[in-house]
Amino acid sequence: MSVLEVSHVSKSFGSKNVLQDVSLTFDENKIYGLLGRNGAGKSTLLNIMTNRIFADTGEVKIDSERINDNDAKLGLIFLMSEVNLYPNGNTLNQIVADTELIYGSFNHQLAERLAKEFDLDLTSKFGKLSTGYNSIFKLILALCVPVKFVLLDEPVLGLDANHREMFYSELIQTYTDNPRTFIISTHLIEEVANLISDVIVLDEGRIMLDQPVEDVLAKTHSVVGPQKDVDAYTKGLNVIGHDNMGTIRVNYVYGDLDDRRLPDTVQLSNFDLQKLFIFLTNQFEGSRHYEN
Amino acid sequence: MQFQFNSSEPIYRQVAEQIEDAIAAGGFEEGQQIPSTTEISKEFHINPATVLKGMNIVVAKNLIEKRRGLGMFVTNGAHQRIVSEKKNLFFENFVVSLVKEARSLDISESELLELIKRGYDK
Amino acid sequence: MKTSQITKYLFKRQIVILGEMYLVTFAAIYILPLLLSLITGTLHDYSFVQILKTSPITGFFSFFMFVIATLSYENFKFLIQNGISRKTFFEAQITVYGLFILIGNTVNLIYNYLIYTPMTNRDTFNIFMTTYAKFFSNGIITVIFNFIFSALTLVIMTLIGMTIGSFLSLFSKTWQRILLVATPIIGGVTMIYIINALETSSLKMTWVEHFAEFILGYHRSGIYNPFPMMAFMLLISVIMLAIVRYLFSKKQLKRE
Repeated sequence: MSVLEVSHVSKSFGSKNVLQDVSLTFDENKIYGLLGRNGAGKSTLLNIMTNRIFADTGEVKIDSERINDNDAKLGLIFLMSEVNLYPNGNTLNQIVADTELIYGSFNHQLAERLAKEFDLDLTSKFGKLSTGYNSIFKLILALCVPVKFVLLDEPVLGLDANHREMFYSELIQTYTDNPRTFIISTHLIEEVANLISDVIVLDEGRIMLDQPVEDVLAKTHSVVGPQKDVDAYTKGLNVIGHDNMGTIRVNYVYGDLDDRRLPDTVQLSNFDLQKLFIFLTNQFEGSRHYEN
Repeated sequence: MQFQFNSSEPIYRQVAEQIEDAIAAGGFEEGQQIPSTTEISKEFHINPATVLKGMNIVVAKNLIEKRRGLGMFVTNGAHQRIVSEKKNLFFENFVVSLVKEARSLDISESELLELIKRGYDK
Repeated sequence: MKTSQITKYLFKRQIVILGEMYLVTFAAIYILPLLLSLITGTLHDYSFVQILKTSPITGFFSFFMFVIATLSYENFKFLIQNGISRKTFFEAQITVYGLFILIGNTVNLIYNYLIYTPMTNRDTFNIFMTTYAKFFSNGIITVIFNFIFSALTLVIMTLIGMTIGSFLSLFSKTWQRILLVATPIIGGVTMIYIINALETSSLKMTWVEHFAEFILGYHRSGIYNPFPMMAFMLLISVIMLAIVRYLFSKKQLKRE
C-alpha cells in the first residue's frame, strides 16, 4: 500500500509563519479531512504536497521517495483547488484530452456521466465557465484521473446546494468503485464530518489533531447537569469548553473519563467534530489542553 | 429511508440501531432487501466503512444476511429475534431512566404505576 | 519519465503560436499594404516582390523564437497541475525548441539560397554571409557552416528569451514591472558610462579591442574566421543552458 508522507515541513511567507513543523502520514484508500480555519495554512500545505511551491524545511515523500523532480510520484497525486491552471482558450474536451495524454489514462465513462448529471457542456471554453461550473469541471477531472491521492481544497465552495449533494454522493460512489485516498480540506466541517475516516486539524500552522475519527469521537464527552455537579464531576479532566443554559451547565471533555461515579443529575453523551474543532481552534480558556 | 443521525453516539452504532429498529417496527420485512452500504453512505454522506461496520453488527446478530451478488436481506426470524432482544433490554433502556426521572420529580412508586396504567388505557 | 508526452504537448501548443505569429506578421507586412493601396487607389505601386526583397522574413524567426521562449509560466502552470516535474518540463521544452530551430533554420536557409539570392542577386542575407562567407573556398562547406552558425545564433536568442522569461516569472507581477522598467534604464546608463570611460582611458581599450578581434575572427586580410565566434557561442549556450535549468528548478506557483 502506498504512503504519502509529509515530514517536518515548515513554511514562512515573509515574516509570517504559515506552517510550523508539520508531519503527517496518509495511507491509501482512506478519506481524510484536513480541517482548519481560514488562513490556517491548509492550502499552503496542499501546494507543498503537490510540489507547486517549496517548503522552507522538510520534505514530502511517496513510498519513501521525494516527490521533487519525480514524475512517477507526482503522477500519483492530483490537487483540485480554486486556482485556475488551465488555458482559458481551451475547450473542456481539449483539457480532458491533454490531461489524458499526460496521465496515460482517464475515466471517460465517469467524466461523461458526471458532465451530464451536472449539466456541464464539455464543448465550452474553460475561461468562459461560471465559478460554480469551473469548480465542477475541476472536480470531475479530479475524480477521473488515475491517481492514488486525490486532494480537494475546498471542493464545494462555489457549488449550489443541489450540486453539493450530488458531489458528495458521487465522491462516495467513486470511492467505493475505485478505492483511493481522498484528502478533503475544508472549513465546512459539518458537511464532511461523517464522510471522513481520519481527521487532521491544522491551526495557525500547527497540527492540533491527527487521528481516526472513531478514536477521536470516543474521547468526546459532553457532561450536562447542574453547574456544581458537572464541575465536580469534571474536576481534573481535560475540559476544553463549556456552555451555559441558565443553571444548566455543559462541560466538554476531550480525553478518557476515569471510573468516578456519575451523579444522577448529570448526563453524559458524545459531541461532534464541529464542536471539537471549534474548541481546539479557539482562543478559549482551556482550549489549548488538547490530547493527541 | 428515515434515518436521523446525531452526535450523541458513534455513527456506526446509530446505523446498526436504525436498521434494527426498522426491522423491529416492520419497516423491513423478513426476506426483504435492505439498502446497500453504498446507498446508505451516499444518501447520508457517511463513510462507507462506517456504514459497513454498523451493518456487520446487525449481521453478527443474524438479523440480516449478505446474499452474494444480490445484497443485504432481512433473515427469517429476524423480527422475532430483535423484538425479544429489545424486550430483554427494555428494563435497562427505558425503565431505569424512567424511574430515575420519576424519582427526581418526587413521583412515588405507586404514583408511577398509576401513570403507567393510564398509559395503557389510552 | 513522461518527457515524450510533454514534448508532444508543448510542440502542438507552440507550433500553433509560431504559426499565428507568422500569420500576423505576413498580414501586417504583405496584406495590410495591399489593402491600403487598394483603398488609396495606388494599387499599381504595390509590389509583392519588392516587399519580399526588403523584408527580413528569415530574421523574423529568431525574434519569434525569442518571444516564444519567454513564455514559460503558462505551461508551467498546466504541467504542475498534472504532476509533471520541472526537470521533465525543461527537457521537453529544450527538445521542442531544438526541433523548431532545426526546422526553422533549414527553411530559412532554403528560402535564402533558393529564393532570396536569385531574386535580389545578393548573397549577403545573414550575418554569416556578410562576415564569414569568404573564409571557405568550397560552396557546400560554406552552406554547412552557415547552417551551424545560424543555428547557434538561434540557440542563443532562444536561451536569452528563456533566461529572461524564467527569471521574470520568479517574481510577482509588481516586481516584474519594476524589473522591466528599471533594467533597460540601468543598462542604458551603464553602457553610456562604460563608453565614456573607454573613450578616456586608452589602456583598457586595447585589451577589449584584442578580445573583440579574436572573437570576431578578425584578420587583416579581410577574411574573417568564423570558428572563434562559433566556439564562443557554443560556450555561451552551454552556460546559459545551465542557468535556465537552474531557473526552471526554482519555478513556483504564484499566488495571484
